[in-house]
Amino acid sequence: MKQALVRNVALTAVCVILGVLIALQMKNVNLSNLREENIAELQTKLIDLINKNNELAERNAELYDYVQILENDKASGNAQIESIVREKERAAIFAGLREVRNYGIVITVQSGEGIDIRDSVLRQFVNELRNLGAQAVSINDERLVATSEIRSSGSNLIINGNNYSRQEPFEIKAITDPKNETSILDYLDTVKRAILADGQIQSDQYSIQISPVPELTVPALNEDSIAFKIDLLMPKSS
Amino acid sequence: MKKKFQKQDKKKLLQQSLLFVIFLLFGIIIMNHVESVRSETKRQDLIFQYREFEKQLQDQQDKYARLEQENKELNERKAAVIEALLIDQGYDTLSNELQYVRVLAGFTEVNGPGIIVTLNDKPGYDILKDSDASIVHDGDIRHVIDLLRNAGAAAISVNDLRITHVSSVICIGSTIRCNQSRMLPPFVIKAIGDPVALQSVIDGDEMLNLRKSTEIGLIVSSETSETVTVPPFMEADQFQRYITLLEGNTP
Repeated sequence: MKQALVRNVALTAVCVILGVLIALQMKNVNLSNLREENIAELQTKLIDLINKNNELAERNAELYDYVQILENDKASGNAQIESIVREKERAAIFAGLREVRNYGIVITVQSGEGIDIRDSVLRQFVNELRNLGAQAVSINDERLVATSEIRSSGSNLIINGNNYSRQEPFEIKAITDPKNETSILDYLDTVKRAILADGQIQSDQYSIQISPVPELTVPALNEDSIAFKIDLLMPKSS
Repeated sequence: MKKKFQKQDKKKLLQQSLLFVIFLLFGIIIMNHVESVRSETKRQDLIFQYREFEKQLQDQQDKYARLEQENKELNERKAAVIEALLIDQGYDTLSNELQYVRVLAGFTEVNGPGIIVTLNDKPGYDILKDSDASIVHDGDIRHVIDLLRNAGAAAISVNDLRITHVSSVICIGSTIRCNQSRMLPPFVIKAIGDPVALQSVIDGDEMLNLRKSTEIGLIVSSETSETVTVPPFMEADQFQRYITLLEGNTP
């Protein structure tokens, strides 16, 4: 009788422990699924940010030195006007206000007879050229700036406020780094093949030529161009 | 009597079998638990490492915000000193020209009426259940930028990064980058321009309307405002790196 009681108590204890262990086990399974990949991803972000901070700190130090020089110039009345003029000139080049000439790539896009060229095809090439580090881009000699529109309106395509027939070939020019010629041409060729293989636009019968040019000219955009929308950027009241 | 013994043997055998099964199960669970404790220790290490990196990341993000603010202040100070210096020396025209060119280049903060468009992933996005269209892609941001440009925007920024003619919004791995910076959702696109025209292109865009349908659930919200602030190009102090192929090549 006593033996049976001991046995039953022992069995009950074993079953209780078993139950607790099963519960613990389930809890462990349900715990967060943090993996090494999450840490690797975080680490990559961290390294990226550290590099960015180092670069920005360096830039700030240079900028600080330059501001000091300018302040000293101002105090001594001995301004380095030439360097300011040079900076203005550089900013004008960046802004697209100066014609530029260098090695580059020309992309000619033509659609089948009587078929309108889609604005999206031109925008895709322009976006890709920007991704590839193009420093100056034009379409049909319209220099593209940050706010240049490329949109279709009926049978025309509007760029910087000017109309171009969608049934005529479009010529995109871009000044790119000649050192990256092979990779840039390969990439653009991939883009071209993707466009030609796109089921939705296959019926447009596009013909696309991509070629490097030892010297091409990308014209300037006039500072009065509608593309700059200066009236919105510099209200008359200011 | 023999029958009684046989019955007792059978009962004993049953009890022993039951005990055997319970102890076997017990043994397996104990082993499993030991294994779990081991992996738990490893997981605890991972959690520790993760939290450590998270803390470092936060510190670096704070540092970046400080440096960014310092950069902004230094650029403003530089512009102010140049302006004062030129005016002091009688170069008022050059000062005005410089300011004008800097505005056109996107090197200054600009304010005006406009629109703020926000794109975000579907709340609670589940990679197994939800469509790929329920998260924001680089192409979506480019699409909104193109819509705003085509509707006459005079200045555009994405997550406070000014869009210039050299800006590209591109997906690298799992993150979207713009102007050398990683961007995380929500993507806030600000544009200065006619609020009615800008709102109209966003409201009327088929792709955006499809993506924000209940089935796909992408978040696309927009609001017009009388004062939208678009920040300057962050790299305005070192824009020379974007004209290396152009400088010296102007006729």
